[in-house]
Amino acid sequence: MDIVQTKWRSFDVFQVNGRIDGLSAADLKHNLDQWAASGLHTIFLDFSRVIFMSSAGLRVIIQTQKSLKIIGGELILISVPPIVQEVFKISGLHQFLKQFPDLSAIPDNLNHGNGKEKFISFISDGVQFEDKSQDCSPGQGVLFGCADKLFSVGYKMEDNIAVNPGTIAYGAGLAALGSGYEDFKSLYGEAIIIQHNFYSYPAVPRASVDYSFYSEHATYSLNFLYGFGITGDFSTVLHFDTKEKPISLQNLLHTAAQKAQTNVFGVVLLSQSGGLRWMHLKKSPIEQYQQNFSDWMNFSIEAEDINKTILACGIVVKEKHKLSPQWQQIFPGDGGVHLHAAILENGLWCNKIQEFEKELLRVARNFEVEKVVHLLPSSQLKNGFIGIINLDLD
Amino acid sequence: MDLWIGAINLGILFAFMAIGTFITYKLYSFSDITIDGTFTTGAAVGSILIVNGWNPILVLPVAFLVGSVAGFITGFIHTRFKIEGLLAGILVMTGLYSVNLHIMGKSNIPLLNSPTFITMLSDINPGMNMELWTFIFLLLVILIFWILISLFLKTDFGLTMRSTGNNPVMVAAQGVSVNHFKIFGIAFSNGLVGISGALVAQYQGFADIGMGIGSIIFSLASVIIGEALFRHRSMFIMVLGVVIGSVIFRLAVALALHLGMNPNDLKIITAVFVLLTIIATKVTLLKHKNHLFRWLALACAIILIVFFVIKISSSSVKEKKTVKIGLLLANQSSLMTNTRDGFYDEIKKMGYHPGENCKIIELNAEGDIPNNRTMVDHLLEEDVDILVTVSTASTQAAIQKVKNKPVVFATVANPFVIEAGKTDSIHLPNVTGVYGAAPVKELLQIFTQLFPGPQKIGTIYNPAFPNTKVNLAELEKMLTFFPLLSLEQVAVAGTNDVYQAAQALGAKNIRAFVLINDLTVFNSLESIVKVSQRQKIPIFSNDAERLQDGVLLVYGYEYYVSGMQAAHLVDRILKGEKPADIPFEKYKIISYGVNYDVARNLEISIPDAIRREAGIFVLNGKLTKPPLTLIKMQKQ
Amino acid sequence: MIEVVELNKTFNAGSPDELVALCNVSLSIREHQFVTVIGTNGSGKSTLLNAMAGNLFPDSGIIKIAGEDVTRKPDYKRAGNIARVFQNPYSGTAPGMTIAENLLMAWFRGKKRYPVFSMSGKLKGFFRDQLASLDMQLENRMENIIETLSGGQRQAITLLMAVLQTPQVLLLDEHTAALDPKTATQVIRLTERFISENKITTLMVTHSMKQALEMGDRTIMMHHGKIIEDIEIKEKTKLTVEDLLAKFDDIRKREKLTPQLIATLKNQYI
Ligand SMILES: Nc1ncnc2c1ncn2[C@@H]1O[C@H](COP(=O)(O)OP(=O)(O)OP(=O)(O)O)[C@@H](O)[C@H]1O
Ligand SMILES: [Mg+2]
Repeated sequence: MDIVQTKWRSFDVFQVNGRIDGLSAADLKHNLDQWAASGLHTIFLDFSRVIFMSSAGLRVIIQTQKSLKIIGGELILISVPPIVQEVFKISGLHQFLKQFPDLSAIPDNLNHGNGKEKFISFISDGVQFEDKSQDCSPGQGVLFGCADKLFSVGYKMEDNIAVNPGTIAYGAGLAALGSGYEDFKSLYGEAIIIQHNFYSYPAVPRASVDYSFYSEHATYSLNFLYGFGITGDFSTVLHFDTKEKPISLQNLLHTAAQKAQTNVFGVVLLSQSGGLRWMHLKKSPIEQYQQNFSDWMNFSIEAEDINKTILACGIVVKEKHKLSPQWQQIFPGDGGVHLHAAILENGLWCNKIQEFEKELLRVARNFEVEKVVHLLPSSQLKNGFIGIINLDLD
Repeated sequence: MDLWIGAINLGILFAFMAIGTFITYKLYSFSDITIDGTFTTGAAVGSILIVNGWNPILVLPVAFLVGSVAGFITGFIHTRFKIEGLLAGILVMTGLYSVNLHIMGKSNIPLLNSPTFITMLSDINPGMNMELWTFIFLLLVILIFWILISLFLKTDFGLTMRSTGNNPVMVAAQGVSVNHFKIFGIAFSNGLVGISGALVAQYQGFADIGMGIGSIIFSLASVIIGEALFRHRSMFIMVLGVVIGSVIFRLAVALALHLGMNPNDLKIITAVFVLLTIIATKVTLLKHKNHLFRWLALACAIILIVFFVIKISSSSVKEKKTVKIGLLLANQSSLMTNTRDGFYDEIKKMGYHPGENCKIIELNAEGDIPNNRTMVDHLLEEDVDILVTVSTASTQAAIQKVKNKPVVFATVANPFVIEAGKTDSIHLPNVTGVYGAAPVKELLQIFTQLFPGPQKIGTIYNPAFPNTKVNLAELEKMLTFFPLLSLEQVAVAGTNDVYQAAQALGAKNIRAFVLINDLTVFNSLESIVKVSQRQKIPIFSNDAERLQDGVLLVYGYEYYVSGMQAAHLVDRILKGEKPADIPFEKYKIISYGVNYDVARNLEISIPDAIRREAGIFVLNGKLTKPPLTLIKMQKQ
Repeated sequence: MIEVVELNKTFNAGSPDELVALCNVSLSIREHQFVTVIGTNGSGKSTLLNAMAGNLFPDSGIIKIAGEDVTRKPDYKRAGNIARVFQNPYSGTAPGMTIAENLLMAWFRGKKRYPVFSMSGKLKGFFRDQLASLDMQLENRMENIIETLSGGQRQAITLLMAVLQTPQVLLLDEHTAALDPKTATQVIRLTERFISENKITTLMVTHSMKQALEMGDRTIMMHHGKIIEDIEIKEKTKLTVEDLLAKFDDIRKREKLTPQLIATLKNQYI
């Protein structure tokens, strides 16, 4: 089997030649996955030269169709020969597949249409942006605890703040799950809240992410040492698509800052990583910080975690000095960004800008989370969304 | 035929050394250059013991022991001080040179009239050709030795030795002291080389300080040939290969001589031969075994064919009309070549014209002492009518081997030391010749004429040369006639030491350099002249050759004339006289020369008495020399 | 069984490329203990093993084996107690000798060798049985030269040679590193079998974290000439390869840290 890429009108069409059997199915799957990962969610397969397809091939087609459907894409088959048609019929799946007898039968509006709204697009630093903005009133930001005990005296029981997950849509901080201080005091770590769902990365050796999915009937509270929460509508959602060279988080935030209307704004990020720089605690900060930095902190010395899905949430300030001292202390000494990120397994999400919030939830709930970290602005991102919530802190 | 059997015999005797090298080189990958010295040591110890009445067979274990000690030292400094093997070998070899000289007491020990294994063999010879008889015996010996040594290498101990060379890291991990085994192997190997030296000395009839030079190359060649011939892992076959390699190597040398190769080329031929063999084995390593054997079979076949073609053609075209004279030189020193030139010129004058009515086969051993022996064999093979030997080493080889052909020596300092005779007229029946110790006394006489009163003189010599020692002894003896003279002497090991030696003497305020005949000094006279000019110390020399080069005064024999004298002896013998009836002759012509240029430079005035007598002189850079004729010679 | 006290070894001391290969290494290994050693390249693992085997002498410190101070004893005198297998499959056997001859060499490990013929039929039979137990079809190739064997076969033979006379201590230095994965597994299985059958006190250097964790009852980690981690069997069972990797990662990061970098990082965190 081999695959030839051709163009028909404005679509890429992949012409499959030869047998699709147990041997070649894996190849086909690999190709399909790659196209999907590169953002191609409607895939045209020209089957006119397929001479045979076994159930192994069928399986690949079905799997791909399923995963594309989730993100609003689909697989479109063209010129399926009778011998393959047969296989579809036997399995009774032919009705799930969209087929056209030949290329000319494809309606013009298939790819672009589908009620897809047009958005403003612009290019900044060689990156293609799509901008979906709306008028809305600024959201609310809340702050809990204080960040400055970390490298000084250490936190105590009375520093713990219980937070109701229902009150915060997005947020980040140093937190733990559990009931009873003694029980969770050694499990504080980087935490992130995405649409009320909570993820934390306990600062222990061999950590793994703990999380709780939010439901309206939840009665538990989250234990924060410090953190901030953001609730509000996205005034702007940007979709960015970097072709070859990734964009740095720094630049992305710079672009976002131009869209934001307030001095401080919240950002929520769904993106594919192109090499991350991060830090996270290795020891729960209930003891006093001791000399050896690396005993306390884990950090990437070179870019790590390439080609992962990341969900990030944080706040950005344009002019720090205008902030109240309480809010200032949440920003690291050097900058105006405090961003936590959940690093997740690589997967597909729909790249339609109007699906952003839906996809956030889907990704947050369905993708495996590997760790939660404090993300540094020198991280690189490949493509994804950034949502902006204007914040009125006064 | 003797040439070939002789070569095989020599090959077998050298096989002991080759097996020694096999152990170091093949088993330990160690190129042990010590053997250049050990070979001589074995010969020296063996010979000196024989001369002192030891049984020639009993000396072999002693030679082994002494050789082992030398090897032990090499091994010890190599392993203990982590000195590179080659360097360790060179160190010990260099040191052995002096040791050997001490053992021998002089640079050459003749065994002509001493019992050797050859004489023992000849006592029980049932009447066979002596070489053939020797061959049978040696074959038996080497067979037994071959089996013993192969078996030894197969024992646990031998196995450990082999493993040590094969993978020292592994045997060390098995609790074997690599160093101890290495030392043992090197010592054992050198012991064998010592035996080989003692045997070769007995076979050729003398031991000489220089006989070990090049041993490592020759035995490496043997090992490599053997390896190329027999690619097999069995110890028996490997050792056999070495023995056969040694024989083939000697046969090849004989073949080269037989083919009439220019003797000057012998060294390079040996080197190229060794190189080619090594390359051939390296190249064929890459190929299939069969290729190798095919290749070698081809090479052997070619050699054999060439050999037989020449053999047949030479025997068929044998015309016995012309006279065949074998001329044998030990090396290329001017002493030798002058003698030779004198011989050629005179023999021509007497009506022998090479290429017309006579054939002169000239061979030069190029300083390699065992070569003399092979060359003598070759001359016998050529069936020469008479052998003329120039130098002591050549003469020794000839008189040891040749019993039924006349041998005429030219330029031997003292034929009695090498047991060519007891007095001038009582000597070996087939041997006669021209000899002479340098006229040391006369030279001293002239010196006192120039510088009367108590004086200090200095001399430089290389004790390695056989003649030098004789001459030095003569000088010391003659000094007793001159009680006012005192002697400062400095020994050198080579030409490079001479300059320093001359300076050392200069620092001792000698009145003059009085130089006896010595090849090293002859070759590096410039060094002495330099000191002479700078410190204004005149040079007196027994060597007439180099008056022009800055010597003040020479008084010595004209070696050219000794060649002429030898030519006359040859003529007499060819005309029917028996060598037994011809007494040894002394050199006849004295060269007495003064360099007036030097005298002027050193501000020495030459008295009239000397001016009148000195027939040769240098003035304003021009050498004036009265013609040398035999007429004048006879007048004297 | 093995007692190492404050071992120090510096190569090229005093020269510009001075290198501290062992720095105050202390280690105590009980009898029958099987210790795996891991560490970064150049961390001094081989140097430690070499010092124990006597291939090199430490600058200071003491090595005791079976209660005897062997610090200054040359390698060949220790070989009676200590057997070794090297990383290089070519080091452990004499390539120009037959399998049988190599085994004979090992049969005499630590003993004197005399000019006698010990290779009896009985001994050969014994060797044959031993070779058969390797399960590499080598028992019929006793007279083959080692050179004709593959690296894996050689390494298996080296291992057999090491235990032919049961040693008190077995030192393995990445002895499967040069083998293909399948052969390596085979040799590892043999290693485990030999060690457990003979209860030999063993020190095994490996680069495979998996091996380090799965084999033996103790693991030590070395870095820059120091033992940085000494994991006994109880902890070992809990550890994963990732944990070990993380430990090494940690070290790497720790090394990169300068006071400035710490300040910058702190400043970026909060
Ligand atoms: N003979 C020597 N001379 C100089 N330096 C040496 C010598 N032997 C080892 N070293 C150095 O000592 C350090 C430790 O070497 P060693 O061989 O013990 O490392 P290792 O832990 O075994 O590494 P690897 O995993 O690569 O085998 C290395 O930096 C090495 O370069
Ligand atoms: Mg190592």
